Amino acid sequence: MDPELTQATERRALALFRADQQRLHQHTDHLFAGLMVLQWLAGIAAAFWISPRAWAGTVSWPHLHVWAAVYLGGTISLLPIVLALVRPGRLSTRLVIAVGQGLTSALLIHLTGGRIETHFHVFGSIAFLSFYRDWRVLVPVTLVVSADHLVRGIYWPESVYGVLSASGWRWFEHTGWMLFEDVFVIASCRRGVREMRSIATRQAELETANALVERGKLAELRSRFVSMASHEFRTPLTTILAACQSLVRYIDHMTAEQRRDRLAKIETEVQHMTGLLDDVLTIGKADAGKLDFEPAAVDLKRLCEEIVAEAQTTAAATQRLLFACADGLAPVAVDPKLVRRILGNLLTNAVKYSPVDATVSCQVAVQDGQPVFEVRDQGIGIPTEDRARLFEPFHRGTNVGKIPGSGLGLAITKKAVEIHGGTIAVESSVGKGTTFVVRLGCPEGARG
Amino acid sequence: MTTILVIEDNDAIREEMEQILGFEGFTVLAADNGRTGISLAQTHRPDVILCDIMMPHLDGYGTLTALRGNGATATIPVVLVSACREEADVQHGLALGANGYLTKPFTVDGLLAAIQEQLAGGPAASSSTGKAPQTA
Repeated sequence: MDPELTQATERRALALFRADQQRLHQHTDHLFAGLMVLQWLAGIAAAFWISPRAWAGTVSWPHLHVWAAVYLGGTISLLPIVLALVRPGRLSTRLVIAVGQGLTSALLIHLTGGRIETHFHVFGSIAFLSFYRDWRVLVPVTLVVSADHLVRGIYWPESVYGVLSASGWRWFEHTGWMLFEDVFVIASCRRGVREMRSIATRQAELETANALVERGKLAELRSRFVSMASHEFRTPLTTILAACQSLVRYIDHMTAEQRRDRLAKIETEVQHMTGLLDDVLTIGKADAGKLDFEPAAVDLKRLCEEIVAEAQTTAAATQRLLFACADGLAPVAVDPKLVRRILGNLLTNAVKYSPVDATVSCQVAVQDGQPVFEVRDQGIGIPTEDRARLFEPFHRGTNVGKIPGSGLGLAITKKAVEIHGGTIAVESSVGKGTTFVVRLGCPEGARG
Repeated sequence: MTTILVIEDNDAIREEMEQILGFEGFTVLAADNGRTGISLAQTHRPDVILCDIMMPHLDGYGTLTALRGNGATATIPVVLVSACREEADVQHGLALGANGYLTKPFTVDGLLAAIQEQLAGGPAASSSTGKAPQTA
C-alpha cells in the first residue's frame, strides 16, 4: 500500500477510535446520571427505613439522617447529573462523576451506620466507573473514599466503621482493598482500549479496501467509456471531416447534388453523435434514478411494427427480420419512447451480431395484461462469462471482435424495462444465437 | 490508371473516400465487407487497398490475412484505416502484413499521402496524426 494511503488509513482509524470512545464516554455519563438519581432515592429510603425520626420523650422530629439523605445526597448528585446531561463525554464530567460517586458511597455508609455491607458500594462504584475504560476516573474516587475513611476514622469512626473506636490501620486496609481492585480495573481498561483501537484499525482497513475496489471499478468504467467514445465518435467524425475537406477542396468540381449530399451526411453524422451522447446521458440519468417515465395507452402492434421497420434499415439486404404479433391486442400502458429503446436496441443488436444471411425473429404478445417481447437471433451468442455483466454500461461481450458498439444499448434497455416494473431474461448459446424475453409491468392508473 | 480498392463497411465514409479519390483521378473500386473486397482484389488487382478494420463478419485483420494468403493479392500494398489508435492494434496490423496504417478521422492530405507512399513503393506506415512512420 502506498505511504499516503497508509497514513490516510491510520488517520481514519484514529478518528474512528476517538468517535467510538466518545460514544462510550457519553453513554456511560448518561448511565451514571440515572444511577445517581437512583442512589439518591435509595439513600433517602434507607434513611427513612433505618432512622426516620429522632425522639426526645414523646416528642419526635425527622432524624438528621433524613435531611442529610435529601439535601446532602441531592447536593452530591446534582452537579454530576447536570454535567452528565449537559456536557457528556468530557473528561471533567467523568472526574466530577467519579468524585460524586465516592461521596455517595461515603454518605450511604454513614446512613447505614457504617455497615460493612455498604462498603461494597465503593467496589461497585469502581467497577461501574471502569465502564469508561479510562483509568483516570479511578484516581478521584479512590482519593475521596480513602480521605473520607481516614478523616472519619479518626474523628467519627462509628459513622464509617460502625464502632466507637477503630484501629488506624483500618483506613489502610480499606484503601488497600480499593487499590487492589484498581489494579485489575486499570488492566481491564487498558485492554478494552487496545481492543477498541484494534477494531477501529480493522474497520479503517476495511473501508480503505472497499474504497480501492470502488476506485478500481470506477477506473474500469472510465476506461471502458474512453475506449467506447474513442471508437464510436471517430467514425462519424471521419465522415464529417472528410465531407468538410471535400467541400473545401473540390467544391468547384462538385455538382449541386454532391454538395447537398455532403451537407446531408454531415447532418446525419452529427445526429448520430448526438444520439450517442443521448445514450450516455440516458444511462447517467437512469443511474441517478431520473429517467423520464410517461406511460400511456398505446397500440402495441403498430408501435412495434414501426420499431421493426426502423431496425430493418440497419440489417443487411440478405438478413431476414420476421415480425409476429396477434391482431386485436387491447391497448397497453407503456412509455412508447422507452419501448422504442427496449425493442429497438434488442433488434439492432440481433441484426448486428448475426451473420449476413441470418434470420431475426420478433414476437410481441400481451399476457395477463403485460406486454411480452421476444427477440431471437442466430448470431454469435453471449459467452457464459459475460452474462453477469451483460447489462453493465460500456461492457461488451468478449466475442464481439471488431463489431462496433458503445456497450450502452443493453444497459439502457434494462433500465427502461425496470422502470416499467418488468423483467428481462436471456438465453444464449455461443455460435448459435441469443433470445431475449422482456416482460413489462403494467403501471397502475395507466391501463388503456 | 492507378486503381484503389476501398473496403469499408460504413457507407458514408466509403462513399466519401470513393469521391475524394475519384476527384484525384484514381480509378476506385469499393466493397462494403471483407469478402467482397477480397473478391474484387483478386479480380482487379488494384494498386493499393485501403481496408477498414472494424467490420462485421470478416474484419480488416481477417481480410488482410486472406489477401496475403492468396498469390494474386499477396503483394498488393494494403493500408489499414481504423479508429483503433492503440499501438497494439497498429503493430498487429503490421505484423499481419499491412504496409500502412491510417487512423480515423483522417484528413484528405493524410489519405492521399498514405496512398502516394505506397505507390512510391515506400515501406513506411502512415498516420494522419503525424506519428513517426512505422516499418511494416
